[in-house]
Amino acid sequence: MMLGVIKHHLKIFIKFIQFSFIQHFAFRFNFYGYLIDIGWLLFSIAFIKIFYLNVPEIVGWNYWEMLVLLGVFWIFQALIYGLVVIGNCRKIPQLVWTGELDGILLKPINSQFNVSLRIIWTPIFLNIIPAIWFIYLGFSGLKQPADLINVFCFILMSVFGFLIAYGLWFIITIFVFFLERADNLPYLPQAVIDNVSQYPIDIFKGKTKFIFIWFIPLAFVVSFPTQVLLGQLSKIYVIYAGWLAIIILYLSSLFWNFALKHYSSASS
Amino acid sequence: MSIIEVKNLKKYYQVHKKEPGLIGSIKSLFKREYEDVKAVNNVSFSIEEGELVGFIGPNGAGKTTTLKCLSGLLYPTSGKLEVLGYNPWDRKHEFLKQISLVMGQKNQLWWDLPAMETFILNKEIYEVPQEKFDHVLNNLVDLLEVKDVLNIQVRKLSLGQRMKCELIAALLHSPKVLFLDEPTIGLDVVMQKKMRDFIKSYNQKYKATIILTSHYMDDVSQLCERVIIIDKGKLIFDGSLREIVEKYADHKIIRVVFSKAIDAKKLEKIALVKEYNYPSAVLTVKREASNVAAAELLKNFPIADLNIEEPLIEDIIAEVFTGKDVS
Repeated sequence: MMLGVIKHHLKIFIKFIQFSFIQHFAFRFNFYGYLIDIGWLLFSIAFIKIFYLNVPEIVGWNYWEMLVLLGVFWIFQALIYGLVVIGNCRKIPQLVWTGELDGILLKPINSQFNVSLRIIWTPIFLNIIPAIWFIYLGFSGLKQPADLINVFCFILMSVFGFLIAYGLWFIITIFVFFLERADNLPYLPQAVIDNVSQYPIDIFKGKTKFIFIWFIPLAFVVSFPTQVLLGQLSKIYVIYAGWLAIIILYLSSLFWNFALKHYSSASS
Repeated sequence: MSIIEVKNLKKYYQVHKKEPGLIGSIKSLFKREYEDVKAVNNVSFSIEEGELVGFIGPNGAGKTTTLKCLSGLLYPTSGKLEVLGYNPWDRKHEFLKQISLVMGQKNQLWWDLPAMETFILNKEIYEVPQEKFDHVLNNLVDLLEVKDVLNIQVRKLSLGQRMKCELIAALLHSPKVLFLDEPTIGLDVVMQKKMRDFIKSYNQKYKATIILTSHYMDDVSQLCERVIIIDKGKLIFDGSLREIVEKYADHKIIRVVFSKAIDAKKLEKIALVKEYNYPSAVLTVKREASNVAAAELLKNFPIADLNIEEPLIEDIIAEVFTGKDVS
């Protein structure tokens, strides 16, 4: 029965992706927006290069390893923003205040799934192409081939990392049920998650590092998966990532159902 | 067993009260006052399968809040609810597959896509078998006459076309219980009639249980045998529409605009003058005498414009509350 439910939701997710393609590519494609994104990536690379002109390593990471990290971060960013943030999390406050959430809650599918994934922003996925190129460049510079087991563990850990980031983003966003007005609430996790995830976790020390590993586990989003890919971190962290993802997703689900009790819809 | 059982339903909100103006806004940053709004206050009723019931009441009476509690959108403050044997708040998928809530001014169609795409998505969400989907869709499309607009982007449709497509999207899964919240609001007279005809035929054909809220007396009078009146969250009346109409909507309103000054006293020979402010007048007359009264007015007075109207539901409800015992 559980398999049937998963299959059902998967079919609907595929429909959401189809709709996104139709909306973004059949009717309009923001080519110039895409160029700006690529420009931003190139600028990030140039900025890192400037740092490494002065020092050979930053917190034990050399330039090529940092390129790999940046590529992984861009893939994570494309996926989280494309699947969850732009079309969904940022719209949750509006759905709550206007009562448009009604239509979502009336559907016989998991409402958290529906509200988190219904609007997918496919153009941003194009950023994954240059990101993969930079990972390749990083490995070329390191003169080491990617180990297949490391790649498999990296992919698995990245999925868990994505779920951890999604869970944290979602929990913060649904505080909107308890606030009268908070347009910028979905942007709050962006400030934390983006800024912490795009650097190696080693830039933090002591208690801060401990918090970002075990309490707000953003280390598992980009930094640790990259280290697993580079063969620098024990595979046990993949297991930790799995457990953290399950716990955070479960908490997000509990909080969502609790928040719905405070939903007052909107006037007709 | 009744399809819908409501026992002592209460839904209270805490609403922030703010004084108007800038000073009020600044004050509210530091100290907030809240008041309890009793949107639904101890309402009980039951509805059998296949009934088409009208929910009427003034704005803010609690009609929509009741429907939203029955469909599982709102968590009741207290009371017992049962729809099709389910507790609506649990929002079990088996329950949601058998109900539908259509709100007049809210839409579920994807704005940038043709309506057909939403229908196909709903088919997947509600797990409607392909054969049944094709059969139901063809029936609904024929009934509502929208075959030519299914593949046009929703944002390019007229309001009437969009409402029809919204209705189709809400009915594709053949719900057993249908909640219609102001389904004809904002529609022109012709579309309102088409909507009513459709709702009636849907109720008769599929034996669906329907609760309908509306401010338009025609919606309720033409569709509903039974009416539940709610005001200030309380159930005031539950019975046949005929009883209400006979007792409280026994008159019609005639609005007149005169082209020349007249002796207002002469109007009183034809109808009861509720308001006279030259050049306009508002008269009331017994329902069965309205046509005769209109003819008399046209014959004896210089009239630029004349309209015969139904009394507003709010006026009927107001009469219900001013000292008349309806229980």
